[in-house]
Amino acid sequence: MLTYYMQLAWLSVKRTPIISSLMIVTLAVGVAVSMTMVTLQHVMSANGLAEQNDRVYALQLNNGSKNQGDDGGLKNGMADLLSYRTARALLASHAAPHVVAMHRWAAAVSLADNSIKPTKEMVRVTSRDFFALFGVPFIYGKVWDKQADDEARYQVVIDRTMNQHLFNGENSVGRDVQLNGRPYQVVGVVEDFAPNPSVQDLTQGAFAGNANIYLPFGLHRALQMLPNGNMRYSSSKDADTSASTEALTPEQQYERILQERFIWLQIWVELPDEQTKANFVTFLKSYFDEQYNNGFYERDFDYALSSPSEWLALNDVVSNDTRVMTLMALTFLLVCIINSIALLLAKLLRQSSEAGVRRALGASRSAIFSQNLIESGLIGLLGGVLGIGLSQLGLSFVRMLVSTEEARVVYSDGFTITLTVLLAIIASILAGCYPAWRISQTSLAQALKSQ
Amino acid sequence: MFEFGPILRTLWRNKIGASLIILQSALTLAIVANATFVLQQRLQLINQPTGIDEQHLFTIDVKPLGQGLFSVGEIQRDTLELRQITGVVDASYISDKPLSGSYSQSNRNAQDDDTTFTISLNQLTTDPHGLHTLGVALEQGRFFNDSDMVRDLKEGKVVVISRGVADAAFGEGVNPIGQQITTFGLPPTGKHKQALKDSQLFTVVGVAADANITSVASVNDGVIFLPFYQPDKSVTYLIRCQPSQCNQLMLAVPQKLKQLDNHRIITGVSTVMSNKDELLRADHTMVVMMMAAIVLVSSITGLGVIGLTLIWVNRRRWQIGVRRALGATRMGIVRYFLMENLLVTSIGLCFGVILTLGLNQLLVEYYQMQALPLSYLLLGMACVWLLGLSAAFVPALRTTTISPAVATRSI
Repeated sequence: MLTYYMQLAWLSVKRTPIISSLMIVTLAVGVAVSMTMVTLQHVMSANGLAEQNDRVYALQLNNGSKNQGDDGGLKNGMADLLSYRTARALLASHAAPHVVAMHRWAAAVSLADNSIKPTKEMVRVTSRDFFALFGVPFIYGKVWDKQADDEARYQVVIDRTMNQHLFNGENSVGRDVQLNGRPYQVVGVVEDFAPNPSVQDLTQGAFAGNANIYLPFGLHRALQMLPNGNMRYSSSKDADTSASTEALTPEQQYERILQERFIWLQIWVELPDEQTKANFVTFLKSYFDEQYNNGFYERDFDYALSSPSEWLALNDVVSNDTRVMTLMALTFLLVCIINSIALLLAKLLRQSSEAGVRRALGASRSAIFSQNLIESGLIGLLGGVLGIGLSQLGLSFVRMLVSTEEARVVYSDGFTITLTVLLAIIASILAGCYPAWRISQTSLAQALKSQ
Repeated sequence: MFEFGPILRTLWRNKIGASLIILQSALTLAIVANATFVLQQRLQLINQPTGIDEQHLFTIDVKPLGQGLFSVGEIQRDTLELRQITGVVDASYISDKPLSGSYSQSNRNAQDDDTTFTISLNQLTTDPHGLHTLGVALEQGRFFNDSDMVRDLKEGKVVVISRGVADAAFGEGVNPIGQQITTFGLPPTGKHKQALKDSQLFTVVGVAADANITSVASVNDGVIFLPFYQPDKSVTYLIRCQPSQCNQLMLAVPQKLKQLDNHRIITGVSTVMSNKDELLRADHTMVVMMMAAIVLVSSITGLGVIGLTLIWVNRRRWQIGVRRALGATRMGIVRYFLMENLLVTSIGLCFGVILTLGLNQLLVEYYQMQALPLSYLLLGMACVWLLGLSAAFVPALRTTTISPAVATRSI
């Protein structure tokens, strides 16, 4: 029976090629456009640290200047960066099981034997807790020693991708990598850690915070490292006149950056339970008050601890523009579905005399209904399949428009493909159900009379 | 004449079919009106003049090999030589690349006698040629001369501020020339005098016209120009070229710099326009997407109306034949179908106004968009109306081929 109905449906589609293909294209375009936007939003709203969501927190402190105006860039009313001095105090404390201070840096990467072409790579300069806190497992070796976070040790941890690139994936522990022409010893190789969006560091855009190379936190003075990213002076003291800069050597000038309220570091802490959290806040308060009293901080004590999902929301990773486009796309899908229903209804009603003959020959209403539903289902199916294809086209179009970092991740995954298929089926059933029901309700006498 | 009665009765008999089309026109209006408005706003932002000669500017980064810093002599020699190249209008040393979104900004609360106000500005370090290279006009006073230039800001005496900063710091209508100001744009007046007594003060010698130098939209009061050579590991030169000379100069300038001193790395030759495009990427995306939305929804609705009218015409062939046989003219029949379409679209637009304002309310409330002006609503209505009419026109014309004899053939 089913195959017979399929045959009938196919015949009917063929009999009205223009109207049928119009319906198929309408559904396909609707599904494609909405799926393109839903995929974009889905990619943007992913949380790569969902598993750590109730354990790790991004830290903010009210470390602005007392007469600073709000330039609109503040989140929770506070800057999203902290000073080196604060980072040092937190690293030295035992207030939380794991504390990570970090910033982005860039370096030219090469090997001593010149076997690879030097490339400029993003480097994460961080404290050793980074790997434990974010749950990045080691493949070879282990993290650098505690001392490497405090004093200059030319050591490096690389990830699987970088190890593949530099050493063909061999166990490279003990070998040297050149960063800006200086050798660093590989102490460990970790699995790739590249959540998209890069929730651990959103300061340079939602997808620009991942790195393949990790350097210890003790190298700042030796290299006079400055972040590849934002650095702000947030004190009310006049930066250019508080010290006589002409008399300072470069070392002394750099020391000023480390000791005064230049803010440029991100801090994450691991607080597995409420008790630890409470203890940490107590520590934070006493540290802040102490620094307030000696004049380092100028504003009242305030802090914020944001879980990865809160941090993503706070940083507007899914932009309003994306949301507006998604809303428009879904409205557009509605237009397409309505359009298909109208066309299908008009088309099927034209065939009502045919249905009347079938009814007169003894077909039940439900038989008429299922026959017509199969016809609209066929159109929906064709539209859906075409829609999936078109949505891939739409995505490659979107990739041309967005930034390179974003373009790397805007691809449909299992979830969005499944959603597309479901959407296509639902759209076609919605579009087909009413017309099929309507035609099965045709009164027998009337249908025959019009013959 | 307009056969409203028969049309309404026909539509009433086909309630569901008609209401689907009504709903579709309504939604189409909602999308078209809102998308046009968002599109227009973004285009305005993109086309907004920045006030600098953005079309003819490019920057180049120079870095000495090794760990050394740049010397003032080196910068002066380079800029002097660059200005000699044919096709170069002017060249200067500059601390931040124009329209790159990277800049140094300060926001300070200042206190006048009884009011508190925020001054927010960009600090831009440049040489005497800076303003002319950017293509920004000087409104008052003078720009820097060679004797103003210092190696250390501590020795600096003078600054130039943009009109916006002058108005914010000293009040509109006050002559800023000769006034004192800090690098954060604070004047030492009122209660403020005391707080700023230890700060370094500069004398304002000139006022530049307002221009968006560092970012595309004006996000602050303006710019303060500082006359000093920042000791750094790399410098950026800004080059302004004569029309259509940019491409050639982007090759000639690096060569010249290499020729002057080969022991340095020359990178990052980029036009200010490319920086601007990068800054406005999200807006460009929005423009393309909104345009796509308008085109797609119009074509789907247009094609839908064509298809439906086609079906309706075919279903009523016999009826048309009878009417023709009873003396209706061809044009009369065409008019009937057009009127039918007009009526349906008009009812749709009435609902559409509600949907459009509803959608706009949603955008305003949740996504920080702006309220839709009435003109866009009217424009959208006109578009959808025209769309419906022109889509119905072709199938309606097909009725002219139906001969009165059709009426005799059936049954």
